[in-house]
Amino acid sequence: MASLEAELATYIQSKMPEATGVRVDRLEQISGGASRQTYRFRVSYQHESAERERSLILRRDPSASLIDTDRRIEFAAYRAFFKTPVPVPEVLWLEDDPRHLGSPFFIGVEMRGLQTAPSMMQREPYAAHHQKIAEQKWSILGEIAKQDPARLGLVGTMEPVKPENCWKRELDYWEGVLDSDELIPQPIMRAAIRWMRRNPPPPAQKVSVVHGDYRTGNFLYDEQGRIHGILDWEMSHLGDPLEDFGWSLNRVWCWAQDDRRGGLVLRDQAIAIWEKASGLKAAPEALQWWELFATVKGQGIWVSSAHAWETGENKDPILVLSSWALMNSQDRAALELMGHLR
Amino acid sequence: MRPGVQAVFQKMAQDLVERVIPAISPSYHQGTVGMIAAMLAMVSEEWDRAASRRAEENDRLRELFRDAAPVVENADLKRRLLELAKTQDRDLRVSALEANNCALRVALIDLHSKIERQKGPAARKVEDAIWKELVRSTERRRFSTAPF
Repeated sequence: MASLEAELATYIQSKMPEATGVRVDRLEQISGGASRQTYRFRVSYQHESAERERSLILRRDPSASLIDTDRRIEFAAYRAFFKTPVPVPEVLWLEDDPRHLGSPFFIGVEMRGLQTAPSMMQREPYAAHHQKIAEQKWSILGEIAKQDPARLGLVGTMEPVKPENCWKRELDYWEGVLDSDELIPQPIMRAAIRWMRRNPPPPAQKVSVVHGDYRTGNFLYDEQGRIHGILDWEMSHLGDPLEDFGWSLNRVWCWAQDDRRGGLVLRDQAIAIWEKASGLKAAPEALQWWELFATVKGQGIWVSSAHAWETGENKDPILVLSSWALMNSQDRAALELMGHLR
Repeated sequence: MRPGVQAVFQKMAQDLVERVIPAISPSYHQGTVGMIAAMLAMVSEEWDRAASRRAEENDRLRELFRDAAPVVENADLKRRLLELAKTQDRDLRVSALEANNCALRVALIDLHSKIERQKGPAARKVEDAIWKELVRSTERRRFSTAPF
């Protein structure tokens, strides 16, 4: 770790020429999504004759990850939503040149003393605040849908899409992931995809920023049940707001092993919160399509994680665990949505 | 192997969670050990059923193909289904059963995609049988720790 600390100090010094004596310590790798290596560290320096320090986060690209994503888009999303009604941590520097730390990365400000783990959400003191957390979780998602991507400055960074093409672009992509990466045949997902192509959803009510992985586990919360930051924007893109909402309802996020979505509240309650906050309608047939899409996308992620591990691109155990633990649940979720699980 | 693999792996997973994780740092390594413990628990659950669930499913798929073949209009698929219906699981190693299962499930996808476009009550009956088998296939694979 010492060399990475020194490399980080050199890099940060180059970004803060007004500071002197930049030092990095307390470097520690933490869990922070499966697509980037995440570290927390402290940077200390002198500025205007005063000693200063900040707690920062490093997000560095690995050789292969659970999700192939563009760090530029993730960085742009954090920057765009900073100081909006959508809480996110501040990001500071994006670096594509691998010579500094061995691979591209970005650095942001750490929000300290908070939780992300879905398992902690089911324990006290957090379990007492499920309704409160749910209200914020789906209201913030509604706020993401309400934001204008052009005013956020994300049109251009994110690939544009017409309202009538949102579903096809996403389904084509994730079917392609299954085509290229599946290690075992997926008869349930293939049937779901055929059904989805025969029964496409209506055009998006509007094109908005889609977080891409909006779920319990990807936001920071405290002991009073307050959400402080939405994380892991690596799959963010422009699309149908129902894509995010359907993903957030995915059965694989039922962490309490019951019907509460995200381990928090029942599906109908989540729908009511999201509709009120977003000003949009979650029409039953359209939402069903996007929830079914979420199972295909989920299976695409678990399939590609298994593929990455087996081909040796990345031997992180999370790639195996997510595949083993969630693929069958994902199939069952698709069966339920197609009316075959009784 | 005695003590049995199920019991041993279950205990190892428990020890990792209760004794090893609290004793190590940083938290990232705790998370890694936690994942390994979860995978050991899953292997423990899968160990005893691994061969039987695959053999059972392969037999059910062969029966399904035997029943569906007379209904299928596509001659190539009909012939392929009848050939697969005659196959057997002679090698009972999990890897061999899995390979047979994959071959059968590839054919199941082809059958499903063709029969759902075919008209008539016989085709609907086959389609219904496919869905029922797909539901059973997820029950066979289910883990007690699954979120759903």
